[in-house]
Amino acid sequence: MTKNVFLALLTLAACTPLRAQSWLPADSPLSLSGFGTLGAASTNTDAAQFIRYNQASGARSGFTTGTDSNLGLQASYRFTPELSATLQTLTRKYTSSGYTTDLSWAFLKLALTKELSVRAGRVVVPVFMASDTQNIGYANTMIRPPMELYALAPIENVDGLDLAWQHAFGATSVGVQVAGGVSTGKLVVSSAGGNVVDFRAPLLGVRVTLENGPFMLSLGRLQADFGSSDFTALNAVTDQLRAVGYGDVAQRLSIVDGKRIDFTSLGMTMDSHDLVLQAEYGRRRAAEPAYVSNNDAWYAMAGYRIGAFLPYYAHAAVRQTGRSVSLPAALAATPLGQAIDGGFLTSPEQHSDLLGVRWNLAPSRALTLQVDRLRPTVKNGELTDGPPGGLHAPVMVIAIALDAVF
Amino acid sequence: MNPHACFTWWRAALDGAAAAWSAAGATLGAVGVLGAASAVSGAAMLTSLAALAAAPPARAETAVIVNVRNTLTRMPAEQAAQFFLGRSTLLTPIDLAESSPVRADFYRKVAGKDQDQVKAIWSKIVFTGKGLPPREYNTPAEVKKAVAADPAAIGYIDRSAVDDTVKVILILQ
Repeated sequence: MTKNVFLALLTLAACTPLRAQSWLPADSPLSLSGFGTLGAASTNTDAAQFIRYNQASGARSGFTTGTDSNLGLQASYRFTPELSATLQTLTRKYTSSGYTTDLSWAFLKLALTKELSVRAGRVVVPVFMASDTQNIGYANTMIRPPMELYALAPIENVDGLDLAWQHAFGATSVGVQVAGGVSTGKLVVSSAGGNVVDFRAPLLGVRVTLENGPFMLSLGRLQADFGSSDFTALNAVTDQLRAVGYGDVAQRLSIVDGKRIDFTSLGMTMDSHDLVLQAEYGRRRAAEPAYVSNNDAWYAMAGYRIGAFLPYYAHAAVRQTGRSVSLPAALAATPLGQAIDGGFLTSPEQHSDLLGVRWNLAPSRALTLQVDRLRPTVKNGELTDGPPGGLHAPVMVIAIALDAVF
Repeated sequence: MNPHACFTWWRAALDGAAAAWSAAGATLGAVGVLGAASAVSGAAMLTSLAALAAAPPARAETAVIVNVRNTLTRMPAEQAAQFFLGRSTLLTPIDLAESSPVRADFYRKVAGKDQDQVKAIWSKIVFTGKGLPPREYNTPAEVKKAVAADPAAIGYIDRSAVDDTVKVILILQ
């Protein structure tokens, strides 16, 4: 889909007050719905590009629509009260430079009881609290989830099975979701020359949510055997290591055979009267030695509703807490050792402050203006395509987004 | 699509953003002004977007109703809210149309939420494939008919519309 056709469609979707479902009779077994965001973002620098995680290209000093714009279309069909099928496509700029459309959800769902269901097919993995809802701009306060945390995991969906149970104990509602299967996708490698690699990751994820009145607590855990055979930059380094007698180090860095990476997150939201709070802490750990760094990240957001407006502020930070591979001293002193250390074992770090205001301008439509001030402290932070020596000045990002659900 | 309507929206959007920006600026200068400044811009916005939020009739009472075969006799508001916010699937919620003032009043009283918040909650549920939003009916008579037809249904109507085809389990004042 060309950019102009896509943006025209999106404008149509955002400006049409109709709802997809209203075209169908009330008792139709078919449900149609969708969501979309028409966004524009710009930074104050051409030294690097600002991206959502895993995007091939991002925003510079001129406004770009590709960072935050997307369109999701969903169709559900109910065969019986217990059995249904759902398909959802997502169009956006992701791991390639143009807009692409991917099947983000595609599953058959069987309700085993009123509170327990099983889904077979493709579902989005609950890595972090907002992983499965982050593209629905209308459903989120911030234009995008803080990249400090959300850039830690490139895994989006999994082909396999998913079990969901929900039960209310008095005023407290408990939800448990378990997803298992194989995730495949692309990983944009920004450092060490840069390329787009295919990954494959058998995984098991669990999320528990507790909801009571205005409070929601979310606990998530994901274990993935993350593997890729065409990570060119990494494979070149491991080949060199083997050639100079460091085959053991090469084996530890490599992800050709798949290495277990664990993600854990704890998040909460509160939406009481006019006060809106959202906070999350998450970590990534290489459970088996790999080039992948161990990182901790968190963010906290506070907003206050004033009529149809919701001004908000958030702070986010990511830091490296460790590495699962240490280089022998003799190797670390060589140019190759230094390249491995700087290119692979040292994680970018940054913290950021963001200020925004969301305006519910019409039913099912919201307009959000957000300014981010990013401070990269190690390498280029969460920005890509930056200078080899890293960014040293704060980067400002201004973005406006019109969100719709229909 | 009506291009003119879209243009109006964008203009209203930009006006609103500008108003919010100046309100935010005023807030930074004097926190105490926050309420006043935003109330003014909020009021202006509501006027320009006439009829977005029709105020419910004063002192209206809303009755939460279930099927007459349901063995429940009373239900706390927090529990009723769970069905309408997708937190429990034991009963099937039935909504009035989005434009209904009784609907806006119901969600405000039962969960302290406005229609945008409710819509955002259901967007998350729908687009993660967890469920579908409540079926909507335009009139209290249709809601009563739907509740009477489904032993697991739960709905709400203005108290004055209640009759013996349904059972009242909660009155929201």
